[in-house]
Amino acid sequence: MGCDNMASRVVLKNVSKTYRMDQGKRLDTLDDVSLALNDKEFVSIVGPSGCGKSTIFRLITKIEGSFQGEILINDVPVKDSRETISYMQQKDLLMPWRKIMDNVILPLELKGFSREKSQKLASEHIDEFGLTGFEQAYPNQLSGGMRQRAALLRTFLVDSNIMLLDEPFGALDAMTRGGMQEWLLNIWQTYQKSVLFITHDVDEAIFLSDRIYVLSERPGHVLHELKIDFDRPRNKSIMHSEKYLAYKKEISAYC
Amino acid sequence: MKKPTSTDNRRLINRASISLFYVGILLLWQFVTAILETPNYILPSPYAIWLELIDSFPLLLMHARITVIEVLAGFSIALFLSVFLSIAMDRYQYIKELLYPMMVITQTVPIMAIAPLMMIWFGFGLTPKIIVVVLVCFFPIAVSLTEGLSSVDPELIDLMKTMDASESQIFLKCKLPASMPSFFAGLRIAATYSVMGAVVSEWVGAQEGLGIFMTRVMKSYRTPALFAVIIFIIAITLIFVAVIDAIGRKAMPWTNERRSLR
Ligand SMILES: Nc1ncnc2c1ncn2[C@@H]1O[C@H](COP(=O)(O)OP(=O)(O)OP(=O)(O)O)[C@@H](O)[C@H]1O
Ligand SMILES: [Mg+2]
Repeated sequence: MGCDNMASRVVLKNVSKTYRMDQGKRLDTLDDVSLALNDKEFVSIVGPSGCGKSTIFRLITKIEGSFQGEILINDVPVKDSRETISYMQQKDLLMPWRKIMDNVILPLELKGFSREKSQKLASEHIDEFGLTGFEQAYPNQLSGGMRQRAALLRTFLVDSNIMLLDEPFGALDAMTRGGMQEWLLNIWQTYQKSVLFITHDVDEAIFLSDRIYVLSERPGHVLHELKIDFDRPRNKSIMHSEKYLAYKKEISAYC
Repeated sequence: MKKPTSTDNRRLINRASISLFYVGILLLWQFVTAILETPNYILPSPYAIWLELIDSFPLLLMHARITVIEVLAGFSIALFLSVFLSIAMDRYQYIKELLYPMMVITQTVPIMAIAPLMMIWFGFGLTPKIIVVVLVCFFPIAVSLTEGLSSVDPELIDLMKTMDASESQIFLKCKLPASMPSFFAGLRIAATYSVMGAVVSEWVGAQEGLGIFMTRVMKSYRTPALFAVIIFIIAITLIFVAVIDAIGRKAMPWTNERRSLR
């Protein structure tokens, strides 16, 4: 990849993962996966359902402890890493009993900040996450897109340089999704985060990413890696270009 | 108040028709007993019951006081015990495996068998009744809370762990609030059981209480008074459940907000 001069945020080297199920059954989920997320990069992972995409995130966040191979977070083995990574799961996982404001400040609260201080910090971002006026609403009073933005704000307030986003827009309709993608790019550019992004929407991956990894069916391994060479900031018009179609073709060859 | 909408209107009409239905049943009952001239000791008319209710009100109130004391004491003890044990069972799998079978067994033993035994062991006072109430309340509360505590989406707990949450933070900020709907459903069931438990254990033998009053009026065929006692028991139960529901709504404001606000 020729990016040796860039600092690596997350590196997976020859990572394999086998889940041990009940009755001693084994489920080979990841097979020799190597990938990297460099500083301030936006990298997507695409692949068929069940190929182990979420599992990669579960390994990076230490939810899942056992695997073969090597994972480095800021050049430190994941086991010894003290980094609290911003991680957004496939479901929004908002707490139904907390108002939106109290939901998003969860990571601050867990760090030991007072409620007032947490709310003050969070309220600086409420507007840019499109949640103004809904701070005191409960999650079940919000639309899907808003819930997703609330979950993203919560993830964002973990305040790590590394963000892992697992199909954040998976449950949204095409129209809402388009708007959210542009908005996410804005956030990413403003705050200079390094984002690892899971999706199975090829268009979404091309529009958002600097690089894309294409995974195979389970057990997942990297079939292909490609660099997306559009200028930033991007807008949806790139989707009509020749180059875009060529990228799309390139990925489709593997899916 | 908001302006009445058509759904509000429909709800009002619904309410009215439901009330009308029950008033109709009472009228029919009154009418039938009048036509057939049924003797009071077989089926008293609603009016006769009403007169009896007014007549024996002070007496009923006196007996109800004792029953309510038994209910509240037993319910509180059961609440305390079951909260304590549920938390322990949630924390330590071993305690759960140890106690769960016993909880199920205590629940399958009929009250009618326990009540006399308690009387033999603890006499005619309040103690045996309170113990019966504890026994009938404990299980629904403990089970609902235990289930509530384990109902949390494991992925939410995973998420909290990635945010470096401690065990006690996970318990207080996640498991406990998540268990509330199930917990209150259990409290509701326990509330109805508790009144039943107290009354049944009074049947076996007591100095005062709605249960013993019930057996006395039954023996003398004072059927209107029997109905009056039943009305009292229903009222006590409904009030108890209503209080629990009110506390539940206060404790779980997220469950009664309307879904629409977009
Ligand atoms: N905790 C677990 N224990 C056992 N098996 C698991 C566990 N988590 C995931 N798996 C299995 O591992 C495989 C990959 O799961 P994973 O969630 O990583 O897939 P995915 O690529 O994210 O799929 P999707 O696109 O549908 O979200 C699946 O077959 C799944 O059943
Ligand atoms: Mg997944």
